[in-house]
Amino acid sequence: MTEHVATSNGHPTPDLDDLLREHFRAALPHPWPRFQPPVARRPAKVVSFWGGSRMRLALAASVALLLTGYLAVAGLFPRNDPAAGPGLDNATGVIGNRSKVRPIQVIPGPARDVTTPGGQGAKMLEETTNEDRPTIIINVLPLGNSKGGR
Amino acid sequence: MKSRPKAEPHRAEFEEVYERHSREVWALVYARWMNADVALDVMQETFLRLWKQWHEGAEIANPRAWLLRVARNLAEDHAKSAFRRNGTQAPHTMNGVAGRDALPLETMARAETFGQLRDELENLAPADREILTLRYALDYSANQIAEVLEINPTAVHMRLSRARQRLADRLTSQGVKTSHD
Repeated sequence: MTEHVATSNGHPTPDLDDLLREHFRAALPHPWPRFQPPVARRPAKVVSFWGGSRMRLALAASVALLLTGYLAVAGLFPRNDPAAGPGLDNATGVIGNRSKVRPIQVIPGPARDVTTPGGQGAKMLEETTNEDRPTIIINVLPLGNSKGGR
Repeated sequence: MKSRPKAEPHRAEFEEVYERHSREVWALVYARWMNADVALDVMQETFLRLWKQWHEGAEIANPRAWLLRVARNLAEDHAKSAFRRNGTQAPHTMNGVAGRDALPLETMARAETFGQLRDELENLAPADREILTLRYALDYSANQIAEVLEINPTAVHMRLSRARQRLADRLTSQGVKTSHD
């Protein structure tokens, strides 16, 4: 190695060794890092399904509420009776459970001879039905005429 | 190094290896990329891998050779990494950005000289940078360099001298006058 030599502008010519040493020393980390061994991984903790999980509890409660609601609403409607057949009878056009549609039974009453406001004689027949709210049907038949009226 | 106990490597022994060889590992990677941060990352990764090998009970006859080989491989892998391809610019590229405050002339001249030195070091062959880094960053003697590079000391002297000469020539062609042997 040579010593610094003055250049024409008066500044000393830098020594290559010094330049290199300074350059590389500046790049070298200060202070030198210590080795940090990796932390050993612990086995994953086994957590029970319900253990400390509010999310799961909330989910379970929601599902339970949904089921309860479904059953409660379903109870308000009549159960489908398989023996009664399907709810919609295409043949008769009846919608709903056929077991609920009871045939109307007409109960004939006694026949009486009456006079109409026009002064004509007629026969009045009173009939009732077997419905919850009994219906009274009055048939007035003019004497000597087979046509009926209500 | 013989076989290690599988449960817990000898921490003190490992730290001794770290103290003895970590700077060499850093120097080799730095010589490859001329980036101190990359060199530090690769050095730490290399030692982590050695730690893992010890932990698994692997037999490594020559930890120094093992470390240097792994570090060289990791340094080469760094070339393929996304960070190198798309990462930020190295700090020295900011040297060309002018500050608002005028710097003293001497400091500017010095910064410029170091910028050119760095540029020319990057243009040298990796083998030249390697030997210069070991010599000037770690102050290694020819014998120590010979051990690391697995060549004989005479070859070290020759390669060192040629590397310095090539660097000086490049600097001179860039207008940087230096004195050297």
